[in-house]
Amino acid sequence: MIRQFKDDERAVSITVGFILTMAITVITMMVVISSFYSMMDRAEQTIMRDEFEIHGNDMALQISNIDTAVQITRSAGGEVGSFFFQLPLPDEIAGQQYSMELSNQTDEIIFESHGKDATRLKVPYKVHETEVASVKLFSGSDEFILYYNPASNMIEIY
Amino acid sequence: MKRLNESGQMILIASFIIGIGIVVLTVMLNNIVYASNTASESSIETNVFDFSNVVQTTTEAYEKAYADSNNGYDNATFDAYMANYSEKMTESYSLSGFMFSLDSGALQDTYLSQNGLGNGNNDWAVIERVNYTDAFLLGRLNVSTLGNESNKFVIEANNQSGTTIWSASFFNSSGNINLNVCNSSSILNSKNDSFSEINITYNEIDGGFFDFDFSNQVAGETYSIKFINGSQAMGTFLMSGDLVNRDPFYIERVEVVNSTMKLNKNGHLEINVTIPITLPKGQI
Repeated sequence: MIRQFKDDERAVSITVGFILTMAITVITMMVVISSFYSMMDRAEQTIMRDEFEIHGNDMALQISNIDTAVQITRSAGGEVGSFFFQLPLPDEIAGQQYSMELSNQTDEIIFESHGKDATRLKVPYKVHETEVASVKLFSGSDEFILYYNPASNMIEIY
Repeated sequence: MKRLNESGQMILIASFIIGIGIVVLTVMLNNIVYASNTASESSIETNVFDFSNVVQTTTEAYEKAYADSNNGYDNATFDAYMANYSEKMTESYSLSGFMFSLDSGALQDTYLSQNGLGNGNNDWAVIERVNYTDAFLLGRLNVSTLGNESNKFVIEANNQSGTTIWSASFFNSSGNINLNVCNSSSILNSKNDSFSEINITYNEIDGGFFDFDFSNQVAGETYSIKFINGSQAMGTFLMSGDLVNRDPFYIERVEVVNSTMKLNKNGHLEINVTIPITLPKGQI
């Protein structure tokens, strides 16, 4: 009877099987969840860069427009009194705040969110008649105004 | 019986696969919808074309108003024409969301600078690649605004290599106009007198003969005509002829009007420029 009890491994088999199944399930769930979060994060950064590109191209076009208008006015011997354009930039992109930098060293508009390289996007701009003032701004302002300063012959943003 | 019990495993596995599939599809759909919405947020405005059109149309309107008003003598007609133009432009631009306004300044005497104003560009090319000049007249030369010898107003004809082949300089010499006509190396003719009307191609000053020798000196050359120190002289000019490509040119400047144009779109965009328009015809 005792020998029969000692050789009976059916309960052990159930316990070991349960633990193994549990461990495999937990590990699988962890892998699946982390993959899911990683995928979501990548999707968010991709969308962020897409939208940065849209707004960057919009800004580059407006800078070019202002530069061309100044050129037209000057070639006609005139003076620009004021030229401003209100940029429709959102407070957040993909649920995240972001920064926007105008660099007249590299002639680029640089967007990034929380300093992450994966979100950084550079859009080049071109000016001939004017200069662009270097500045770094952060989202959250009610409105961004792109304007031409006749005194300094610079396109500035605030 | 045992085989039937194991078939439940397949249902479980299938359920897991369907569940994971739904999650993946939901995430993908979410991304697509999100990306579509973000793309629609952009608003690109091509304002520079509107601005360019406004400048060109307004310049032509001033030229027509000037011609209709007997070269500016009939001020009422000139003002009525421009008021009507401003009203029509305001109406037509309002359809595309722009508010247009025009502030027309008074007609005033011109300097010989590029834009016709006293603070305009001093040294400028009036016309380039000229083959032949039919008429070249200067009028209403005002000795009181003429610069002295160190700031003399000079008309230059330069050939394609940049050499001055003919020039005429004017400066105020004790209330008289001192005129010196030169070729590339020497003085051809000079005069120190009080005068105001000059016809360079017909060799006349105030109706009397004065040899400018312009046509001989520039014959056989392709040349440009430049004004130097234009803001040191007040007066009118007329120039016509043919370019090297046989296209005719005609430039006439009698008066200038300083016009301020403003374009505003819903407060998001504002352009405010002041452009001097030389009349009756400042451009070729």
